[in-house]
Amino acid sequence: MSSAENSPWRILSERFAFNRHTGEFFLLNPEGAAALSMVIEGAAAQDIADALITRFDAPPAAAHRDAEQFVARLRGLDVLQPQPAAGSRA
Amino acid sequence: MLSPSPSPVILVSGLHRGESPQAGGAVVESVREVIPEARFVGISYDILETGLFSRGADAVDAAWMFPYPGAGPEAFLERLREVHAAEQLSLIIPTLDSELANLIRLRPTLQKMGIAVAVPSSEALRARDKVALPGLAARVGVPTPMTLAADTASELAVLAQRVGYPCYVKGALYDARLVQDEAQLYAAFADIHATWGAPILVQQALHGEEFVVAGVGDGKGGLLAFCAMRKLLRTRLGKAFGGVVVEDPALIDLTRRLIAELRWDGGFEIEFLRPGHGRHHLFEINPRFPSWISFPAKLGCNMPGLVAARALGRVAPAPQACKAGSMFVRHVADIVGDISDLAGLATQGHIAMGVRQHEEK
Repeated sequence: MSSAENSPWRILSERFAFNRHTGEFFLLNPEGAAALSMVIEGAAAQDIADALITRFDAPPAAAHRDAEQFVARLRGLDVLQPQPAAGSRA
Repeated sequence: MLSPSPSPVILVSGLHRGESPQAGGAVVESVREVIPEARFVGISYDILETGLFSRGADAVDAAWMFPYPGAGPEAFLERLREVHAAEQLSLIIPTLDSELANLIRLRPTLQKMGIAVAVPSSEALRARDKVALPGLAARVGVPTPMTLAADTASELAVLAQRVGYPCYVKGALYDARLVQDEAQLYAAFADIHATWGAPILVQQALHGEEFVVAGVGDGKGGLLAFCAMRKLLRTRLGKAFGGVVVEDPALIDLTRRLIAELRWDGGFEIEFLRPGHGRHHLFEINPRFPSWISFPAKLGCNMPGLVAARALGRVAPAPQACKAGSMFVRHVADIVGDISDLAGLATQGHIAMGVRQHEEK
């Protein structure tokens, strides 16, 4: 099973993030949505920074700083701790 | 188990869908999906219960006024015999906590009368009450807010010092007030004690996301169906006014362990609180379906239908999984009634849909 399938997070309507384990949701800007999608796929902060530079013309220094902070923030929110899936059927 | 009745008559309580909605209407609506030929009769304690005026899927076919549960099992049984003589009841599905002790005690008598009743065992009921909850939580290994009970306000004030302010003052069955200091505690004690009696509880105030799991236990420790959700909208009283289904393995594991420990039989709702992103704390176990139980039924997980079918010896459709992200919001609407409905209930103590004078002609 891929990282994305294991992750509780789903990106809906391009930049609406929903956690199917906790019911949390939030709206991201396009850069955040791209970064979260990559995190869900298992990408490292370096890869995310590179994507921000190439896809959004982000200044390299800011891209690296933002990517590191973003991943750290997600880790603090348990976003990077995927749990096994479970159904609602007993 | 009773022989399947061709057109069962099902008695349901908790018809009020107001600011603190009861589950009766949602139960009627859900069971009607599974047993469309059933006749639904309402237990009513107040002539202004909103469900008495519904013409929708949650409408009862008739309703009878009953004495309040506090009058005791004999008063309930006396009224029930009158209703049974007129309605030929098949099943009772209570949805109010205060009714359960009477019905559990009367269950053998009701069974002799040919009436099934969807209630848990008395042992299971006692093991999840608010006073016993810390012990249950300890056996299952789930944290729970510190909860202590007292019969007098002064004793409760002493206990509140251990819990710390702010804290909740709660009735054993109903009502909860957040209090900031001892003066507020005394006032809350007086209010709740006057209505619900002792004991009164003081509970540690925790803050966090609220999760609820509704389900059906098989009475042997197994879980037949469930739906877990996070509350999205809450009323001033903390009641769910909107929610989204979650598929959290930790939450479901806790639910399974609690239901296994209780060997719970029938419908339930378990309330959890999750401070920050920490562990789920057990907050309360309600011994009946919640008011939002028609929501999972609309997703194919019809738990009231399952309970009714089991009690009546019927086969219910297998409950479907509730998909994460499915959500509901409650939408308040106005129902048109007629003062003659109130008159009929007040003077005769019962009403049937067919004789309502304002019915469309």
